[in-house]
Amino acid sequence: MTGIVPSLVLDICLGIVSLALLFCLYRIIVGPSAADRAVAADTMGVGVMAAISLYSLRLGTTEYLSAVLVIAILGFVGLVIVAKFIYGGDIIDRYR
Amino acid sequence: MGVILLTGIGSVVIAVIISFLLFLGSIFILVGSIGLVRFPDIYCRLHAATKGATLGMMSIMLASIIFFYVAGLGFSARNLLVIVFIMLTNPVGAHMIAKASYHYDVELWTGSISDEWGGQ
Amino acid sequence: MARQLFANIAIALIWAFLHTSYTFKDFFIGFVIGAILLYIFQRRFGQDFYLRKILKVLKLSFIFLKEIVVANFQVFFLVIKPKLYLRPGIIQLPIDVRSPLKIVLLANMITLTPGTLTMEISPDNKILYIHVLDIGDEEAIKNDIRTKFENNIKECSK
Repeated sequence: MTGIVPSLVLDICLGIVSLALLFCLYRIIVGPSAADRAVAADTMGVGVMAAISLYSLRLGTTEYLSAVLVIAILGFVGLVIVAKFIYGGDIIDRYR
Repeated sequence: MGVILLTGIGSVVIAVIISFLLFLGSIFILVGSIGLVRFPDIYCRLHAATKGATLGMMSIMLASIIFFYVAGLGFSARNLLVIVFIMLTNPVGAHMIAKASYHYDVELWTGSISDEWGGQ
Repeated sequence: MARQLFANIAIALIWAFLHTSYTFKDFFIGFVIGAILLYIFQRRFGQDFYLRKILKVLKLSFIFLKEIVVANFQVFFLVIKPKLYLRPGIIQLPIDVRSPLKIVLLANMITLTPGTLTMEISPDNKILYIHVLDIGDEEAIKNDIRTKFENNIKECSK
């Protein structure tokens, strides 16, 4: 069951995704504005989701897919909160 | 519904499809990150990061659905949920960051051609 | 359309229960029979056969998916080139669709297609400001968006 995809393919893909995470880290450190850092953090979240999925393919279990969903939701909510903070208004709208 | 196609040529075809989708997804995420580093302006970086991350993740999740179906572990609906969620929410997040940056007066790149908005 | 869908599902369920089997296959056969019945008795409902609308929605989704893939290849070629070849800018696009749900759908599709990013909508919901990665031909981009997305969205929920 775990031998469907050769593990060399999974290793190479994990390496590529780790390289992508390093580039995002560079943008978080050197980023002239807060928006740059927020976008890089969200992309890093997506990279971590990809890494978790690849590792769960290697182990052959569906346990870790809930973690993927949770990281996606939290990443999106964090991005929206930082955007509202930069925009300068209230984070929680009261007058709807 | 179990290990259906894992005999002979079928297993090779399935392995090739899953590997191709995994490679495609990883390379798209890498290209999105390289775009984050190379592009000169926050708005251009949003283009690269959002599109790359969205499609890369969708690709990897599709490969995961096929893998878990062929391996006999059932149709994992959580993957489908992640695909739908990412496709709906990544563009919205990118739009909010772009709008907030423009109001915070982050300058467009000096090579920009036209700015018909003019700031409000 | 909701009434037709409800009637179709009801016919499918009655078919499955009459055969005293709860498998997906009988439900599907009942669904097909319900669709045929609804097609014959179209005039009673006063609206168009609802499967056509579902086909249009499916067509929109396929266009959407194709645009996402093309967008990524465009970003790929832009990033790979050693010399940055970008001519970005912001353009205006007057839109026709009115209801907020359709405007959101249109804005999402514009963001996920090659080279465009929705930035702002004017307060009277008439103009959409779009940031474009490569202003080669402004009119071509606007016509592209109009034919591919707006017409399909308007067709989808007439």
